[in-house]
Amino acid sequence: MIDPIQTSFRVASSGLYAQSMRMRVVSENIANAYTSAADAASDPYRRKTVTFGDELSRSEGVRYVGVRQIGVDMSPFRLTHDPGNPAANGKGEVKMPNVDPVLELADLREANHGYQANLQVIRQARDLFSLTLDLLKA
Amino acid sequence: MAPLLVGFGAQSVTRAVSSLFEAAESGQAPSGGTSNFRDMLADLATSASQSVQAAEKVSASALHGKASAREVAETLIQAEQSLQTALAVRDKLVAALQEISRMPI
Repeated sequence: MIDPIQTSFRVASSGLYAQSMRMRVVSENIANAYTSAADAASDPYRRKTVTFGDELSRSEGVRYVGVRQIGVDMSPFRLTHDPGNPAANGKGEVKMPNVDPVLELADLREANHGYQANLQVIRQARDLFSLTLDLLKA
Repeated sequence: MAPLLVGFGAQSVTRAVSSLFEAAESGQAPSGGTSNFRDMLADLATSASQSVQAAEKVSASALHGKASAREVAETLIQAEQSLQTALAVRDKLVAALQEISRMPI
């Protein structure tokens, strides 16, 4: 039999991993929010997305969370007028990444909250464990 | 996720607690399941040292930038729990032994 406290500890740890991966993807998007292409023919940075999936552990009978896929957002690029840019086309328009910094910051905030929630689970599981252990003392 | 050494955790704590209580009540060593109390203690000590070793290994690889802070925290907490369990059970056992040695004949 697997100890439920230890299991919740590990499940929360997988949550930490998933949320930190999300944070990583968001940071890539924010860092590349203004990365244009090298020339007019190629595309600029395309926004990355992350999707989570549950991973069943048969031996423990629990579902961990994992990163199912890191995909790309296929929405159209923004066009800005910048004739001096080497990536500008004939009309002086430059394709900019389809990243909306406001959206990314909202996502970052959500990842932050998810991470903290999982940290809280670990903290509680740890406290309960040592409280159980305290039965042996005194 | 990195496959981490599975510490024995609160399950064995509760088992240890109940066997100690049983021993106190019946006045004899409990014979729970297939292993006896001594084997359980040996188990406890072995897995405690194993999880401490695993934690050391992960900490070392974190210093080389190969493990994340999350992994270090996870294995260290697991090692800490194993060690605390082993220490608590040992303390209880030594206390019981002293109790017996103080018994007037």
